[in-house]
Parts: sequence; structure tokens; C-alpha cells
Amino acid sequence: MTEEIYRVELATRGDKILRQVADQPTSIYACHALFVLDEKTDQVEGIVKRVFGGEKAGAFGRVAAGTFDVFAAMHLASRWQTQLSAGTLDHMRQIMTHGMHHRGNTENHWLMYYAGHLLASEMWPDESAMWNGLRPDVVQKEATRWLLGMMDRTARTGHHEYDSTQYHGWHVTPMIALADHAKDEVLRKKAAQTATLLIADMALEYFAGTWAGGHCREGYRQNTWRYVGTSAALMAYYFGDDTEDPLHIQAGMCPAVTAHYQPPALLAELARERSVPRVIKKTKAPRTIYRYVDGETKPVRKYTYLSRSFALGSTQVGLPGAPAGPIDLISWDLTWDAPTQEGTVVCTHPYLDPGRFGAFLSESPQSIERNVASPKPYLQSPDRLFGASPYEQMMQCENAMVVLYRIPEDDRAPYVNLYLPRSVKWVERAGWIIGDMGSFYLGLRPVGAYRWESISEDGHVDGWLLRIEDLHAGLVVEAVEADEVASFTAFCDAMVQRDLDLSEWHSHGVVCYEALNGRRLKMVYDGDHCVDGETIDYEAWPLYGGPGIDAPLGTGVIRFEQGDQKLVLDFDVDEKQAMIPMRVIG
Amino acid sequence: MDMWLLGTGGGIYQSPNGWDWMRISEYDYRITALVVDDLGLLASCGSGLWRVLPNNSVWVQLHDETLTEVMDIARISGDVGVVAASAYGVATGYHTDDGVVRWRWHSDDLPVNARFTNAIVAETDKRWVIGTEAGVLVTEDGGEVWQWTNLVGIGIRNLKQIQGQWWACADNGIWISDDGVFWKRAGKGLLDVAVFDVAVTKNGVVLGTENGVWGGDGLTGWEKVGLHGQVQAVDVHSEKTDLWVAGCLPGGVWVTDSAGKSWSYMPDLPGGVEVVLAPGGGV
Repeated sequence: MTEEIYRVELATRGDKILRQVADQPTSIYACHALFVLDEKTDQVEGIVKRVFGGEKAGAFGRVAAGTFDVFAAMHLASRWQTQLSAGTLDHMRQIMTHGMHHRGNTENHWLMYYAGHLLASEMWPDESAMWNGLRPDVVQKEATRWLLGMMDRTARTGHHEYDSTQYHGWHVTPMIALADHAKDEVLRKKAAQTATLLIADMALEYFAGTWAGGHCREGYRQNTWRYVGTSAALMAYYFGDDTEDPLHIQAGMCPAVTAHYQPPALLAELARERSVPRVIKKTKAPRTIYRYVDGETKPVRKYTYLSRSFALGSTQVGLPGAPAGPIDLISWDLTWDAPTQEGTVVCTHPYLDPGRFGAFLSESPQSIERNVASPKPYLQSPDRLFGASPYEQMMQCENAMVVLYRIPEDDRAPYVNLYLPRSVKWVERAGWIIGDMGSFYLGLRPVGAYRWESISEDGHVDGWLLRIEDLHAGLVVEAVEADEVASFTAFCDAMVQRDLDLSEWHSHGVVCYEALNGRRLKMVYDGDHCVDGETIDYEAWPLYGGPGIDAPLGTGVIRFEQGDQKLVLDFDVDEKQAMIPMRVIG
Repeated sequence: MDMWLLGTGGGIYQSPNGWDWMRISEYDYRITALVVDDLGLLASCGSGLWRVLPNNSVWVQLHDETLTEVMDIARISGDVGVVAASAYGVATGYHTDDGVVRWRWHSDDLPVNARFTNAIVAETDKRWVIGTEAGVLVTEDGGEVWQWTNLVGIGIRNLKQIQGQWWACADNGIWISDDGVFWKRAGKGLLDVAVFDVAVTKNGVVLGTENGVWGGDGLTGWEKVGLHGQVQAVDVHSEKTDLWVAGCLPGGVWVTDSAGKSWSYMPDLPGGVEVVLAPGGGV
């Protein structure tokens, strides 16, 4: 596909998105659509004044703004400065110079905060002070340091708030805003490269409209959905999943549509090419765990196998042990082309220890469980299907995977939850649960006694929940394209004859499995992961690995090749230079 | 400052008498520590460190892009004049040629749990005692070398140096020390109760604990004084020594002018209170 053809595609999809967003504009993001379409622009000032900087009561009359608001306002101001009314711009200036702002605590918060405040400091450089009492040039320098530092870290050691279906859009759009509007040329260039890299992250694991594999933050109770979060809208726009799903038309992602920045066509090609199975490896930054453990977190290693009809992805999460367990991390899943709730298999140990909140939030340990879980009771639900467990470990080789758990006796949830779609005609045979998805077949072998339960929560989840009631629970997963075996019956026959050796699981934590293609997986809990006798050296993994990808860790140079198209992202990193400390969560 | 001060989950409040409270400016940050100095107030919070000037509605930012999740602060000499304890470790500030404050980190080499610092007391410019999630540590040289004390393996919620005596509020009760290095249990009881604050009364000390306010002399048994919930902060008026203010998490602000015999709840104040300072620093 040529760049010209891809631009036409984007324009066509973008026009559809903008028209729908402009139909009922309520947010600052939607104002981008109004300007492009030249419709209802008289509403913009009212929208901005209503949304940005709600007045607070009190003698001082200061206004508060969160990171989303600041970014939304300053992206709009930067993109449409000449079209915005004097009253609108003055309102924004007042809030950026006299308001009260929050920086938040996640990486997407800080990214939006610093992008917004950088654009403000450059838009009003002659103000005596910005909102925090500092001169605009000082604000600009602080923001530049953090933004360039964040890009540098991302290019060297991997994205911190990695592959978040929920929040990825709040990483991509600030980069786009900086690429389009920052005054500094280096910052503009690196922001554009980072935007491209983040879109590549989606493309590499894009599967039938979904983002397959592990995610640092999937969102609460959404990891059985087909489309999730801001990434759904961006993937639909950039890669062309043209549906009527409401998640594909999000006003918040509208600025990506109206931006000058557009990604290269190669990324859409990367996303769509699924004719030949491929393994994608990624290294991501260690999670932020700042108390209750002595060991440091290790880099995250992702492995995603994308076949024609399914995608299976897993993660070495690199956590240092209990109670570290990021609350919305998704370590693995199997994904296929099916309606929401019907195209995912996933399991997790619903680790409930409140120490997992305190491991990355600074509130008092004596009160943190109520503080966090009282407004979000699903975080402590015994049926939870999302979130990390310090007792979960896994390994994967292409289309086969082993997931193992060693849950302490005194754990609040001495079991594992396995989610299965209702629409599949499951077969139980000799310990295996086998499914015929039409285009591919799936074998699941729970380790431990289990029972079928139903899980249904309006609007969030609806399927089977298999509760594996064993402290040493586990699951073997193998998916095979239907045309690679004679029939579903033949597949069932083959699966029940697989060599699954659990004889040393309880005694020594060892499980061996011979996959249908003959590959032998040997997994030692708290030990090595071997394929055909060879130990997987996760530390040797590149930043990105896969067909046509050359991206060694630490170098800041990422090369993609697809067909006759090439893309090189060179972040000009100095490998001897220390990276900025990552003082955010998420 | 001749005022009571509160650091709450929704900003700073002040009161001339402990009963009538007014918010200081409109900033609604979660306040974790307050220090009164010649210029006004230093306020630490989740988002960093702020200078609060009298009669100025703008708080001036003292943090940079590395200082965040500040849990406590202590005065030292120097151009910034403060050492900060945070979830990411201990740092001191310095002014750059631009006139802004940048931060230098002093505990990056400690284990994760010992970096998370809930409390800090600077006995001198170089001798700091810190209360971390891993216990109490001491440096004699401004953070170059850290010495582990005998109070380790337990989360420390607060530290105070009162009349030459060191007090450590821990997840397993209250501890006392002559030098900040060798610690022993203070008083009898409260072995498995988290303690968050300690303040001097005319007869001994009162403790803010996860189970109300307790009093004692630090030698004999502790006795429950009142309140039923997590008391995160408590302080005592230096002259009206029966006037105490207790800050609860989430239970808000309670005041007694009868040394704990009767407590009154202060409505219209935020529920989460982590700092109470009596006028002039209490008794």
C-alpha cells in the first residue's frame, strides 16, 4: 500500500469519525471535529468554559484542572489557535496562569500534564509566572526534561505504561500534539517517532480489531471484551476495523484524526498481515513497585503468537514477589475473531491482598484497602478475571502455553478463575476441555479440580467461570488452525494423548508438555523455562523482535520492514547517559 | 505561626483556637507534612513540595520532575532548607542558575523497602533519622552512608524527637531511643497496634493509633483515652495542655479541651487528616 492510498483511507475513516463526534459535541476534544467540519464552531467557547477549570468555592476563587483537561485544552489551543475566540484563549490562559493543577501519578497523567504545560508555556511565554509561581521558560524546561527523558527511556528499555488498551491513546495523542506543535525541533522529531513507536506497539499485536496478548493496564472488568479503551478507537482509525462499535468513535481520540501527524502506511500493513504465523517479542520497562519488597522489579517480557485465526500472548511480568500485583495488569490471553465476551480465554488468580495496593500507592497500609476498594469493589471480587498475582508464572512456545500457580494456604483466594465463552461447544474428555471455534481448535487442560460456574455482570462480563480449586492450580493451552488437523474429532483424539507430565509438579514445581507440533515445553516454577531442552534466555530478548524487526535493547534504534517498505526510528540515545528516574505508576 | 494547622486530604486548614477552622487557599492536595519557617509554610504532598506564603494565593512549586509522593520533610540549613522523604527515597534540594529547585537523591542504593521513607527528622544538617517501610535508618553525613538501627523489619509511620528523646511510631507499637540507633519499646502494651503520631501532654504522651488515642508515660501500661478509628495525627496545645486536636483517617477532626475526657467532631472538614500541628509546635 502506498502512502497516498493510506492517506485516502485515513481521510475516509476520519471523516466518518469526525461527523459522528460533531453530531453531539460535549467535550473539548470534540471541538477539533467542529473546526475541521466548520460546524457549530460558535459552541466551542461554551464547551471550553464549561469543561476546563471548574470554579471552586471560596475566597480565592481558584480553579482546578486535571491532567486530561489541561492536555485537551492546550492541544485544542495549539491546533486551532487562529480559529479560537479571544474569550476562549483568555479563559485558557487564565487557568494555565492562575488555576490549580494536578500532576497525577501515572505515566499517562504526567505525559498529559507535561505536554499541556509545555504547550501553554510556549503559547504565553511573556507571562510573569505560570500557575505554579514559576516563569514560563522554567516550566518549559522542566516539561522538556521529563518528556525527552520519557521518550529516551521508552526507546532504550521499553514503554513504562506499556500496551494499555485503556490508556494507550493518552500516550499517543500527547505525542502527536508535541510532534505537531512543540517549538523545539528535537522534541517535535522525537515525539513523532515516539508516536510512531506507540502505534507500532498496537500494530504488532493487532488481531481482528483487538489488541492481543498482555497489557499493563486493560481496565477493570473489560478483558473479556473485544474492543477496549482508547486503543480500540485508534486501531480502528489507523488499521481499518470499520465497524459501528461505539468504542471506535471516541471524541477523546478525535485530535489524532485532525492532527498533521500521521503514521506511515507500513504500520497498517504490519497490523493486517496475518497470513503467515508470527511471533512478536517485546521488552517493556519494569513495573513500579516501591514498597513491601526488597528486590527490584525486572523488565517485562512479552511473547505473542499471531496465527491466521487466533492470537495467544503471554508475559514474564518481572514482579519481585508478594504483595506486588498491579491491579489492572493482564498477563495473558487467547484472542480470536468473535463478538465481545465470545472471543477470549483468560485465567487468573484473583489475588486479594491489600498489600498490592500499597505496593504502588502511598496511602497508609492500615486504611488503603477501604480507600481503594470501597469506590471500586470489583477490585476485591472473588470472581475477578483481571489483575496480577504474585503466584502466577507462565511460559509459551508459539501456539502452546503453560500457566502455573503456587498459592499459599493462607491466601484469601485459594483458587484460579478461568473464563470461557458461552457460545463455544465445549467437549470434556480425559481432563481436557476442547473447543471447536470453526477456523481453529483449542485445547485446555486445567491442572487441579475445577467446577463450572457462571459469571455475569451487566455490561461487563458474561460467560463461564471455571474455578480451579487447587493451591497448585495450572492450565495448559494449545490452539491449532483447523486446517492443520484432519478434523475436530482428530484434534480431540490428539489432545488427550498429549504427553503432559505432572509427576513432579507438586514435589518439585516441574511441568512438562509436548505440544502437537512436537515442541517440548518444560517449566520449572521459580526456575527455568525450556523448549526442546534449551533454556529461554529472557534477558537476551530485544526491545522488539519478530519478522522484519531489528531493535536491540538499549540502543534506541528500531527498524521495521514489511514487504518493500522500511521504517527506521533512531532516537539518538547516548547509552552512557543515565536515564531519568521513572517516578510514576501505571 | 500562632495557629493550629491541619494537613488534610483536601488541603491545609488553620485555626486560632482549635475549634474554628478555615482553609488556607484553595489548593486541595493531599497534605502529608507541614513545616513552619520564617517565610511561611512548606507543604509536602502527593504531587511534590510547595512553598505557601502568607497573603499569597499562589503556592510556589519547589519540586521538579523527580520529586513526588513526598511523605515528610525536615528543615536543614542551605538555600532550599529542607530535606524531603518520599516514596522514592530521600532528597535534598538546590537552586540552579535559573532560580529553580532541583533535587539530589541520597538513598537510591538502599533496598526498595528502605527507600520508601514515611518520616524524617534532621537532628543536624547532616544527621538524619528516617522511618521507612523497612525500619529506622540513620545517616551521619547527609545521606552518603546509611546505618541500620535495631528497629528493622517493620514499617515506621512517624518519627519525632521530643525533649531529647526519639520516638518511633511503628506498625507494631511505639518505640523509644536515646540516640535514634538503639530502640526499645516504650511503655507496656500496644504490641500489635499501628501507631501514627506522638505528642507530649503535661503528664506524659498521647499516641494516635489505628485504634484511637492512647496515653501513658512511656514506661508503664498504655491506656485508651478516646476515639475509635485510625488516628493519624494528634497534637497538644503548649499552654492549654488539656486542648488536643486529633486528625483521623478517614474520620476527620476531633477536638478535646478536657485532655480526652470528651471529644467533639468538627464537621465541614475533609475526612482524611494526616497532619496536626499545635500553635508553636505544641508542648
